[in-house]
Amino acid sequence: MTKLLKNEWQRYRLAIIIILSVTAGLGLLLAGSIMISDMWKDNDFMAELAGMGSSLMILYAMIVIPYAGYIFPIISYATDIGKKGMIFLTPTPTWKVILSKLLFGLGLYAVLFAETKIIIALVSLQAESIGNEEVTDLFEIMTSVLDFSLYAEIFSDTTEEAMTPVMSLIASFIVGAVSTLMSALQFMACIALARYSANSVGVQVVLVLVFNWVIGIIQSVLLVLGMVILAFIGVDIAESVFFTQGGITAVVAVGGAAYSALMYFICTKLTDKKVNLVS
Amino acid sequence: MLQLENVSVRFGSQTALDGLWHTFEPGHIYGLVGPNGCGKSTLMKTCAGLLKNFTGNVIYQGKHVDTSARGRIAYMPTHSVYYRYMTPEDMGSFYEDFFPDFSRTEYRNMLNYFGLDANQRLYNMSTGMVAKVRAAATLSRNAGLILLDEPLNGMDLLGQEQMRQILLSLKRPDRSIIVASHMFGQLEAVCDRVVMMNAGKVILFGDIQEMTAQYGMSVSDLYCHTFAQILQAQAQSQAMGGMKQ
Repeated sequence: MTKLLKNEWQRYRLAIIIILSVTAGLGLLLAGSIMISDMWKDNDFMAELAGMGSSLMILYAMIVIPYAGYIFPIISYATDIGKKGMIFLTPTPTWKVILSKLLFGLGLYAVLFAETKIIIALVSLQAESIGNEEVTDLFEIMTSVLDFSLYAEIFSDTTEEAMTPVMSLIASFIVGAVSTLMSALQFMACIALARYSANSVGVQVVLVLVFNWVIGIIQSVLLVLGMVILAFIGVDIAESVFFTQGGITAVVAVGGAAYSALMYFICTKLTDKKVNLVS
Repeated sequence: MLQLENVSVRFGSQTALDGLWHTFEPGHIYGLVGPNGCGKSTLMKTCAGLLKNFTGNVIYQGKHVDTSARGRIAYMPTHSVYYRYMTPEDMGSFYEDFFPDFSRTEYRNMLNYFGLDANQRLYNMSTGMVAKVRAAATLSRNAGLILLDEPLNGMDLLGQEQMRQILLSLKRPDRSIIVASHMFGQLEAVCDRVVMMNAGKVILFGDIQEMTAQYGMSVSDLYCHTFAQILQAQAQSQAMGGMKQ
C-alpha cells in the first residue's frame, strides 16, 4: 500500500504542493488583511483591499478545501481506468489500487483540514490581540466559512451538552472524512459504470452526471421513506436518534461507511470488468 | 512452461480466441504471427494475467495465471500505457516498487545501450524512444516468461537491431520469450519457433529451421503464402454464396 500511495504522491505532488502553498499564502493574506484594516481604519481603499483578501480566502476555502480530498482520487481513477494505466500492469489487485486512491484523498483531506485549523488558530490569536470590533466581525465571517465544521456546530446546538472543542474538532473531522469518502466512491462508481456502458467519451461524461443525479434522487427517496416508516411505527426521530449525544456522528459514520462499502464493491467489480476489455 | 488449454475469449458477439490449445516450452524464442485481429494481442494479455473473462485454463509454472502472475511474467503491451509525466528514471523507480524481479542496474545499462536520456520526460520523447524505454523496462525483469507485443513498432533500424541483440542475449534454458509482431521478417533470425494464428486459433506451429527445410521457404514467405491461400479460399466461398443467392 505504501508503494501505491507513493505512486499517487509522485503523480500529483506538484498540484498538492501548489494547493498547500496557496492555502498557507491565503492564510497570510488573511492575516495581512486584518492587520491592514486595523491600521488604516479610515481608509476606504485599504478596507476594500482587506475585504478582497477575505473574499478570496472565502472563495478558495469554499471551493478547494472541502473538494480537494475527493477530487484527486476521482481524477486519478478516471485517468487510470480511461487509459488503462500502467498500474494495471502490476500484480496489484484492483481493490487495492482503488483503496490507495481513496486513502490518498483522505490523507490530503486530513492535511488540508489540519492546515486550515492551524491558520484559523493563528489568525484568531492575531484578531484577539488587535481587539478591534470591525476586525473581530470580519474574522467571525471568515471563521464561519473557513471552519468547515458546520456539523460540529449542529452537534453543539442539538446535543444536550455542548461538545468540547476537541470533541467538536474530532466530530467535524470524522464527518468530513466520511463525506469525502462517500462522495469520491459514489463518483468513482458512476465513472466505472459509465465507462462500462459506453465507448464514446462524450456519452460517458453525460452518463456520469446522469448516474450521480439518479443516485442523489434514490438517496433522497430512501431518506424520506425511512423517516416516514419511523414516524409510522411511532418513533420520534428527533428525540430518539438525532438529539442524543453523538447521535449524528454515529448515524453519519455507520451509514456512510455502509454506503461507501457498497459503492466500493460496485466500483471494484466494474473496474475489473472494464480493465478486462481489450478495446 | 506455459500451457493453454481450450482457451476462449469473447467480446460480445466477437470471438477473439477460439478454444486454443498450445504449450510454450522454456528455452525458446517464439514468434507469434497472424493477420490483424487474429487474436495475438488478446492471447498475450490472457497469458500476462490481464484478462479474466476467458474460459479454459492458462497455466504457467503449474499455477493458473491470475493477477498475481503479473509479478512473474514480464509483459510489454503494444501501446504505451505509461504515465507521460514520468522520466525513464521514474519508470525504473516504479518498476522497482512493483516488480520484485526488476533490476535497476540492468535497466540503466539498457537505457544507455539504446542511447536514451534517463531524465527526459516521456511526453518529450518520440514514439520510437518511448518504445525503447518500454522495452528496456520490460526486459530488465528477471522473469521466466517474457511477452512482447509488437516490440519493434516505431523503432528505427538501429533500435530494431539492438532489440534483436538484446533478445538473443536474454535467451536461456529456463525462459520462454514470445514475440508477437507484424514485422516478423525482422525477427525471424532471432526466433527459433513460430506460432501462426488465424481467427483465434493456432493454424501452424513448429521449429523455424525444420519448417524452412520442410516447405523450402522462409517462415515470412510461408506466412504470405498461407494467408494468400486463406484469403483466396474466403473470396471463392463468398463468390459461391453470392451465386447461390
